[in-house]
Amino acid sequence: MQIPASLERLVEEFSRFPGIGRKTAQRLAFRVLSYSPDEARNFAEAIVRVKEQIRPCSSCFVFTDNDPCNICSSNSRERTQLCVVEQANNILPIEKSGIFHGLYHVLNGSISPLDGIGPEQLTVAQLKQRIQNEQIEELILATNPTVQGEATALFLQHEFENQVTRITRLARGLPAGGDLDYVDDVTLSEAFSGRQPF
Amino acid sequence: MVIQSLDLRHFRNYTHLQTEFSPETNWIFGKNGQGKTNLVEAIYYICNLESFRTRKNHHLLQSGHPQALIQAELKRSDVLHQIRIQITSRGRQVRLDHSAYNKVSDYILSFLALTFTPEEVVLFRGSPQERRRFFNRMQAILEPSYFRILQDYAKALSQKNAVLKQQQREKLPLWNQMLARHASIMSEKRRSFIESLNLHLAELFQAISGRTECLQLEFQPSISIPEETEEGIFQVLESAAEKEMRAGHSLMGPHRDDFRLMLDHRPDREFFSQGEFRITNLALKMALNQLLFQSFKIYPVLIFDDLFSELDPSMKSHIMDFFSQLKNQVFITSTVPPEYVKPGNTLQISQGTTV
Ligand SMILES: [Zn+2]
Repeated sequence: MQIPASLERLVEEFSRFPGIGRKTAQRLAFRVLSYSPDEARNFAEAIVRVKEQIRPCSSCFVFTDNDPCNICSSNSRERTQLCVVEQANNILPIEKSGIFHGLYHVLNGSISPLDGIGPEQLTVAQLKQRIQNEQIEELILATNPTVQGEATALFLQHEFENQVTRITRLARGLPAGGDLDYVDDVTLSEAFSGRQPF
Repeated sequence: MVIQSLDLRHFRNYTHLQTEFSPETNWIFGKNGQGKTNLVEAIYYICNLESFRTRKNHHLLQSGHPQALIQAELKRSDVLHQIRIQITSRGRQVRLDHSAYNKVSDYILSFLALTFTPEEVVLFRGSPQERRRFFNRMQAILEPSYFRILQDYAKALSQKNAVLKQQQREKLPLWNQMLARHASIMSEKRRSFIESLNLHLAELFQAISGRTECLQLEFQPSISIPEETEEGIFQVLESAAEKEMRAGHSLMGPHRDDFRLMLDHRPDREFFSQGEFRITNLALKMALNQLLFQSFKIYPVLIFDDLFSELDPSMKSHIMDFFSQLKNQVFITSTVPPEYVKPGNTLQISQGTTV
C-alpha cells in the first residue's frame, strides 16, 4: 500500500525524534490517525503552545513559562547554593528527588573544541555575572561524568575558585538499589576511591 | 574450552570439511598453500568471532559462493554447545545452541582463543602502534573497564588535538590537565598489567626454551617521570606546550607509549635473533594464557600457525615437552608430520581436504 502524502509527512516528522525509527514513527502516526478531530487539534496545539510560551529563564536558562522562572523567583529556595548543569532537562531528576533547594544554572552544553564549543558558546559569562551580583557561596558542579563534562567542571573550577566560598562536584558512584553484581568496574572503582567515613 | 568437531562449507578453499579434534594437541600438516592456515583461521573465528588475517568477510568465502558456513561442537565446563556461524560478504549470523547470539563481547569471553602466527612474531620488531594495539586488546579482554579508560583517553586526546590544530594556546592548559588525568590512569593500568605478565614470563621462558636468562617485559612510557601522577604529567605536558603548538598536534602521552622485551639486560630490537623473537613471543602468549585462566577459569584454545619453522631441533623438543603439560586444547600447523611426540590427533591437509 502506498502511504498517502499527508500521513507520510507525519511519519517523517515522528522519525526525526531521537531514538525513533521508521517503524515506531509509523505506529505513532497511525495512532494520531485514530484520534478524534478534537484530540488531534489538542495535540497540534500543545506543540505550538510549547514553542510560543516556553522560553529559557533569563537568569538560569531553565525552560519556563514565566520569566524569571518559578525557581529563580521563589523565596523558599536557598539562594547561596548554585547547581550548574549542562542541559535544562538535567534539573528534572534533581527537582524530582527534592534533595536540593538551591538555584540552578544551565550551561546549554559542555566544552568541546572538536565541535567549536568553548566557554563563549555556553552561558558562562551569565554565570560570572550571577556570581558577582548574587549571594552565591557554593557552586555545585553537576556536569555529566563524561570527558567533556569533566573538562567543563575543571574549567569552571579554575574560573570561579576565588569568587565563591566552596566549589563541589557531584560524587560518582553506585546507583542506589543496584546490585553490586551489575555495577561496571569503572563505577565500582570510582565508588571505592570516593568512599566516605561511616 | 575444547572444540570437539568442525564442519566447514565454502570457507576459503574448503568446499566441505567434516572433522573431529582431540582435546589435547592437534597436529595439522601439509604442503604450503593447501589450507592449513585456513583451517586454524576457522577455529579462531569460532572462538573470537573474527579472523586473525582479515577484516573483510568476502575473503573468507570460497570464490563463487555467496556464503560460508562454520559449524562446531564446543565443550566448556563439561557442557556441550553447538555453534553455527553463517558468513556472507555483508555480515554474519551467529547461532549458539540454536538461538541467535548478538552479544559479541560476552561470546568472546566465553570461548577464547590465543594465536601464535608468523605475522605476530614481528610484534617486537614492528611499529610501536602494533604493540599498543596488541596490549590494549589483551588488557581490554582481561579487564573490561580498561576499554572505557582507553575510550576516555582517546576523547581527551582528540579534544586536545583540536585545540592544538586551532592554535588556541590559552585553552591548552585545560586539555593538558584532562589529558594528564586520563594518562595517569592509563599508566597505572599499563604498569600493573605488565607486572602481572612479568610474574609469569621468566619462568615460562625458561620452561619453553630450556635456557636460563630472565625474560621481562619493560614499559617505555612516552612521558618518563619518577611518579606518573596527574600533576607530574601535567607539568611535563605544559613544558612541551610551545613545541606541541608548533607541531599542531599532541607529541606525548600514553598514545606514544611503547613496550619492549628484555633477556637479562639485552633489549629485543638490538639483540634478539630471529629464534629469540619467536620463543619470547611464545612465552608472552603463554603468560597471557595463564592470566586468562586466572580471570575466567577457562583454558583458551591455543593456535600455533607455522610455529616450528626456523627453530632448532632442541628448541622444538623443549616446546613439545612444554605443550604436553598444558591443559589447553592446542592446534599446531606444520609442513611436516609430527616429529617429537605423538599428538592427540594428526590431520594431513591437501587441496582443501583431509587426506
Ligand atoms: Zn530561572
